[in-house]
Amino acid sequence: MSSTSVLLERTGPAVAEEAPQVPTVDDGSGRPSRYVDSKSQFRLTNAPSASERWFLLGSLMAQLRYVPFTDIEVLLGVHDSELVMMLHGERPITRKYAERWERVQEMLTQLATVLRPEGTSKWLHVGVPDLNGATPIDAISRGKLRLVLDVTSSYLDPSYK
Amino acid sequence: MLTFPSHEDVVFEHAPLTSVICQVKFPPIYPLISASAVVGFQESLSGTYFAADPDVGASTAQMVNGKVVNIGQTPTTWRFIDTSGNWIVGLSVDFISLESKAYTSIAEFSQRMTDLLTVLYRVLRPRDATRVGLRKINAFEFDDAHPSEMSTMLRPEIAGVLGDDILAPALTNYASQFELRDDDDTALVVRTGPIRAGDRVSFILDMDYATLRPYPIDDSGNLGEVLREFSEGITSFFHWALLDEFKATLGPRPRVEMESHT
Repeated sequence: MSSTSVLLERTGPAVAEEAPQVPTVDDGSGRPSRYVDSKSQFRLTNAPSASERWFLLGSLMAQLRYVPFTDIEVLLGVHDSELVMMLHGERPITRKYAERWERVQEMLTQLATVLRPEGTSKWLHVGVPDLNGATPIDAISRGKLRLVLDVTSSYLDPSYK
Repeated sequence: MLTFPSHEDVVFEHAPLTSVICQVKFPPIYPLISASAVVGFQESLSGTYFAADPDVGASTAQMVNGKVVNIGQTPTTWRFIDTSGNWIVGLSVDFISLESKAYTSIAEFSQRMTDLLTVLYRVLRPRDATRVGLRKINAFEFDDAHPSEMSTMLRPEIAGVLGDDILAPALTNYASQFELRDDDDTALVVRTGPIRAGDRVSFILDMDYATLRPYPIDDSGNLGEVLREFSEGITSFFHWALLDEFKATLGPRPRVEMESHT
């Protein structure tokens, strides 16, 4: 008999069996708060924007679920391994990324008015006259996300067919 | 793979199967404690599964320096249900699960689970699985006044003391559990015993095939194949555990014949 027994657990959806310990505190202020263990002392921090950034990242990942990870790296401006760490809460999502991702979100929202999510991947690799024939993914990789946003904004024009 | 005697590929018209559950565990993704981190997964499921009331984790607290500190919190399980209410998805910081109350075939079940794992991979990128399990729970109703009738339904190894004429009438509590080792990382765990719900008494045959092998969680569909293997192992054990005369009362029909009617 192996010392590692499958018996120790059972297959079931009830609750997570390795419950992470998330110390929280009610400091009486009514604000969301969190204890962070720092140098053996509890420190009180407020981080409401972290939730909003995870929300943004999660929403982007859903909209980009048909896009290759190599293109997601370019769109989000973050290396894949770093992105995974952000998704897992192992690396903070800094303001720099959040601001860029809000523009990508805007681009995808505008794109969604004319394209299903499955078409995003192909659209990224098609030359666009307004980008001098460059593809959106090439333009974004050269730091021209704003120009690509102008292109997707034009899709909202009622005269666009 | 555990081997049991071969059996016909049949579907039981009066199947005692009450629930089928798959759970894939992975290293914790702590942001999933928060609803905001679930949004990507939820958006990707829309159209198939819809958000249901989450199973909010329990917490314990104690006073530290005059303040109430929450020291142990079981994370919430986020739940999603299809329109029929028969398929339930669970997502927590360290697992994803799928439960069916209307199981018809492992082909449909594994396809649904594969689709869920693909969504999980695309939006949350979990690391390799720490445990993969498939569990089928059967309930056989029996006459509480004659518990030893279980000996006419199940092999004596499974019915246990409940099938004994002398012991069964005096039995107040009985549960059995054994583990059949497949390899160092994989085993079939079988749990049996009677449970009472109101006036009805059922004998539970709970079969849980699981592995600790670190399968990648991705869009390859490989875990679907693992589930099909586990399902075959469980089904083979089920056929072995039931006596032929009793099995005949469950209305076995060849699977091909049943599928041609649907």
